[in-house]
Amino acid sequence: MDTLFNSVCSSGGFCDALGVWLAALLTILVFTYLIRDTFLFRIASSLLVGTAIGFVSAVVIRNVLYPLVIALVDDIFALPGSWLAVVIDLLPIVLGVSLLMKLTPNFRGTTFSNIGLAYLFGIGAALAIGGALSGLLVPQLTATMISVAPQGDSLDWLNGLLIVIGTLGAFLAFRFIQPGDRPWQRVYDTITKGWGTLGRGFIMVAFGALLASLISARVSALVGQLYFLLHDWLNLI
Amino acid sequence: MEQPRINIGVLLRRQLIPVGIALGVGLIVLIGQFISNSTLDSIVGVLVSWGAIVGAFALLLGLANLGMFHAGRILKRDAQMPFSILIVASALVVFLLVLPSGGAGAASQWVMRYLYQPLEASFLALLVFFIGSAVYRALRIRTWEMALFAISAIVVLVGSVPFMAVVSPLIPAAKEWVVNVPALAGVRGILLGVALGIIATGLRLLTGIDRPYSH
Amino acid sequence: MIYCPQCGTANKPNSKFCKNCAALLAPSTDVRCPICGTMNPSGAPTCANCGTRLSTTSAAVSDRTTPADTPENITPFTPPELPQAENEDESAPPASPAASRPLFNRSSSEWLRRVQKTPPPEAPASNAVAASAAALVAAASGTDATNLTAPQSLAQAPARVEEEDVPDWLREIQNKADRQAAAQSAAESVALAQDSVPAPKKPQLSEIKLTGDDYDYSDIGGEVTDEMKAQLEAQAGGVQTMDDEIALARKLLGLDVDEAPAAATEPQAPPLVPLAASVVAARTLSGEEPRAEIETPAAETGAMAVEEPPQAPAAQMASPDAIQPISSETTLAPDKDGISLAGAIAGAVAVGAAAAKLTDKEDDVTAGELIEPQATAPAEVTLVTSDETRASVPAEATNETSAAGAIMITEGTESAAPTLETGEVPEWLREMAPEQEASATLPSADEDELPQWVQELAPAGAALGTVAYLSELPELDQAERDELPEWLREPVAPMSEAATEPGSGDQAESQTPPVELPSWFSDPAVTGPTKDPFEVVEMTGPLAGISGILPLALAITEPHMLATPTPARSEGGRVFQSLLAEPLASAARVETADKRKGLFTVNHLLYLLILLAALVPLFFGLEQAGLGLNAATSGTALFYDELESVPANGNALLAFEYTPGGAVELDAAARAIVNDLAARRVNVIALASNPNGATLAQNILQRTREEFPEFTFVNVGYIPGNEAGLRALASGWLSAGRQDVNGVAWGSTPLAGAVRNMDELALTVLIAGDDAALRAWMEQVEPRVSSPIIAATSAQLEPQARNYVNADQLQASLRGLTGAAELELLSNQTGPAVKTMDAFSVVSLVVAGIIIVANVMLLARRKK
Repeated sequence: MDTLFNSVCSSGGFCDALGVWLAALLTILVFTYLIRDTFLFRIASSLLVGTAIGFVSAVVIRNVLYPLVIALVDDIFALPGSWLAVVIDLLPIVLGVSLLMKLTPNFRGTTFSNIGLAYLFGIGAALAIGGALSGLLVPQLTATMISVAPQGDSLDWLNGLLIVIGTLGAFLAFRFIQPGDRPWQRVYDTITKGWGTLGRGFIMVAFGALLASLISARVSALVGQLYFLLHDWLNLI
Repeated sequence: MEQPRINIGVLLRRQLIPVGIALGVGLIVLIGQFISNSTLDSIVGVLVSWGAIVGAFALLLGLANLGMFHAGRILKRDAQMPFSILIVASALVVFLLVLPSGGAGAASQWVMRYLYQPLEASFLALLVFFIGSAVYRALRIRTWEMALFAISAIVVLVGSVPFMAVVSPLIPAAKEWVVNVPALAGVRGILLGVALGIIATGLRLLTGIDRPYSH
Repeated sequence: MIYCPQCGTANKPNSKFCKNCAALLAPSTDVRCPICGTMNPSGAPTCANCGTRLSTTSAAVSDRTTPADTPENITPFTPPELPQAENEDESAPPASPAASRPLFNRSSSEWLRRVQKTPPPEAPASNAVAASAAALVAAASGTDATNLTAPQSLAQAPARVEEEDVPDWLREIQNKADRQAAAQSAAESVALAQDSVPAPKKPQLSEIKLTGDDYDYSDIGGEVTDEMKAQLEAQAGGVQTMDDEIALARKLLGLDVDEAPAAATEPQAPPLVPLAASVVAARTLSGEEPRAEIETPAAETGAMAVEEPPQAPAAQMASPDAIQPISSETTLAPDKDGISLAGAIAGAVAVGAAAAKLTDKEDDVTAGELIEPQATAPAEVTLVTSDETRASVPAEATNETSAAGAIMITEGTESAAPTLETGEVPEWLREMAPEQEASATLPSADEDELPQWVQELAPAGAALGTVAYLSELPELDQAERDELPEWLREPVAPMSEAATEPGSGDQAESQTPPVELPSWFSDPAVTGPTKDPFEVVEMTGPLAGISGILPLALAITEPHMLATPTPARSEGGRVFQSLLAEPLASAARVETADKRKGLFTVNHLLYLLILLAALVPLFFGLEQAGLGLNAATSGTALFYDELESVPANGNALLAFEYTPGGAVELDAAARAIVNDLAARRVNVIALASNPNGATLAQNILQRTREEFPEFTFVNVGYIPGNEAGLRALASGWLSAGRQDVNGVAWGSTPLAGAVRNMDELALTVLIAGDDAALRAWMEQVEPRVSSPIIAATSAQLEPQARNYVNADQLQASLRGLTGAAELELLSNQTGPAVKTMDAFSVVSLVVAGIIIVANVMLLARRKK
């Protein structure tokens, strides 16, 4: 296919020009949504979905399944010495095929797919726990504690203190515990509620920063597409 | 009262085996993350590599389900049939173009550069307009929390503009302070909560309390 | 809950398979509580939630497939029966135990609802007749419960309301009826005990349901013995409709012996409403035994013929127990309530006729003649059948009459429907006191017998009463019409402006003659000096010439304003008051405003503003592109330093973790990074954990190679499995047999020998477009790798990336398009990032301005 494509489309030639026009047309189709949800917009969204499906499935099949099957076939041909390799190659295929049985309407088929699902869930849960502990919880807590340690000038120390207060406050903002009746429990509850309220403020600041960052990212996409239309397509700039 | 008969075979197939697999594999991998042992590491490595392959099958499962859904709409001659035809047809064409090279060939790059990328980028660019109208309608300062939210967004947005540094160096400095101190604290608190939630959910899965993979 | 038959596990109600053993589940056997809807196990006596007693017949519910299919067994509400001790005669035999048992049921409720729905007649005559009939019913139904089934006894409810108005003479009648009914019931019970067909006795029907309808024969006045029951059930197979059922019952009861030939001689009788035409039984107002004449629709509907002769005498026309209040219009329904109703109407008509007759003439009057006058007051006895035809009490007296009080009710017929049997006036009629209220406004059929004052009003008779009252004359044949007074022969055409009666004008066919009121009506000497506050003389309609009439049009069209403001007890009341005080708003204005809005909204204005903010700087950019960019003071400098720290011929790993949508923002950064590394001859290993990244990477790497031919790179391609794949990569690196995008095995590449694990990498550059990829690398790869990791992220990931930088998980981060532009400046490259920086800045400022303007406007509105 690539050879055929290369023979038809030479570099920087007709295919690229056609591609530019196609890309410009698709961009304009998407922007018609600013007027209203039109038939043209639906065409563009359908094309996006279809392209994504075809692209991802082709990459997965070509880069994952195809080598796997080739390796299994090679190991089978190398039997009996490679029985362990055959088992190692075959088992993930069996587990993966069991997942695909979810598509069958047969109840027994869907029951068999539970095996593949169970394997995925087990692996995923274990990796998630390990990653959350070692990659998120420990480093972040360590950094929070280090922030309190005076380093640099007093402004850095103050910023560090603010970070600690804000981090713990953001944590306490999600506290939903009924207060006790004893005096010290009431005092404790008052302190944690107040701190949680302060933490909610820090969370709102974080959300504002996230919103601004999101706007920046999308503005970059808008400007990039308009630049493509004006520069690559219309050559106006 | 007569005790109900328990079908051991059914129970084994539908409950015990999947739970056993999830628990067994999960515990081995979890222990392997904290204990350094060559044998254990090799077993964990094999199990995790299998998990990667099964994950690829899961991706295919999602794609196949989507394809079946649209194929069903075509067969039923649904009102949305034309769009489903377009989806299936474009998927087939792109699949045939990309499959031979696996994504690195000229055809794959042409599809990516002139078809896939403009479409997805345009959809993301469209969001700017809707965010603009959304902030006009919804971002109204009525409480102190909304005030903090709005002020933080304005400061970061204005501070991200490069030539505001020419207007006043305090503007980018304020933006840097907001991002590096209060926003960082809030994000860190959220991340810590997310981490604890991940640990709790993972433990529920590994102890069999939650069994989403069985009936 | 559904309990698994195999393991006993409780499953959700709609489950099909057991959640424990996956066995197929049987349909739910639970019983739904009719009050609170809680599902209870079958066999439970009471509801576990509300304590309601569960019906023992709920076993049938378990036959349903799901509990949702189970019909709710809702028992009707049974209000207790009020005692009527003050009205009973002490000498009267004690009521049977059944009398004290509330006997409401659904059918009677339906009858009651029908009665309550119909508007009461406005004419005094109809009111009087209705009141007397209602009183009769009240008196009758409240005493004799043995002859009544539930429908009849329900009449106690409305009757109770009118009990206060029952005159003494009516109470005496009621007491006599009670005594007779009690005696009758006692006799009948003896007859039943003997288990023989009591030929001379008056049979009473028990409940027999042949066709499944809740039809009760008790109001027919017949009793079905066991033998008759057997006959009914044996012949139930041939019963198709209600008419058949009733016809069968009547024949078995011997009620149709006299009437069968009579019914057959009426070929022209139109098809009768199942109820109205089939069975009409009216209990007489006395305790005598008039023979009830019940016409069957055998001729028209083809009711089945009953072979066996009736073994019971004619149905007993019992006391006025079954007479129920009537109203001006009553819709007949093919059930026993209608029968009772018809009977009640007949009885009421008879009452009215008798009352009128006794006032003027106490001689014997045929029942038919009695009926005829009543036919002239159709509002009282007009029956609107289910097919919206009107039935009336026949006005013509014929020989085909039955016992007094039993009246044939047909649709508007041309045939002479049989009326009351010619005979003496029953005692109960004679005992009726002078009925001033009943007779005062009842004109008789015979014109000669009309009171003088009515005859004087003849031309203007149409003006009396309501228009619809007179316009709803029943359909009468010529003979009947001839017997009507002249002023009543044609229905009055409903007035267009003054029509207030519902359904008026259905039968108005002829024009109303001009109404001439007597002179005394408008004579000021009679009416006195008029001081009409309105000073309006009506010009049209039956009230033409009369002054002081409230203009109907104004009364309707004027909005009703509150004369005196009521104290507002709540905020809602104050709001309601203010709403009423406001003038009516014109609706036309709203429509035009909506139409104008559709073309161009505020949203479109915002969209245009943002588009212009992006386009204008692209066309008219600043002289110095990227003004204000200062890589030295931002985090880009740290990133650049980390890039520069990679030695020449070193190996760097580039992870392209973004989608084609993020390529617009991150391609510039990726290109700048790759160009910088290629310029310093750093070897690059590219991979991606998402399927699209490998193609994006290949595109950039190939273009860089075109610019730097000595550039060495290996595109490993797609790493499947997300976290699992990254974990495997961090712990095991790449296997030797793993192929790159060009099909070359990793072990065969020149970099395989130099990089055997991730720790041997000089730098790992993560180009991340979404939070999941960034977090996956930080969780799965960073804890296991000692080589430095830097990240070029989308602008939306800047807060997270700063967090990781602060926690030393990342050595540096590059922020989106701004960072790419700064990197281009630092590395002396020319790319699109710097060129688009101005447009990026203006759009960002516009969006910030929108937020500020919106809140300023909000503040300004608040101050107003």
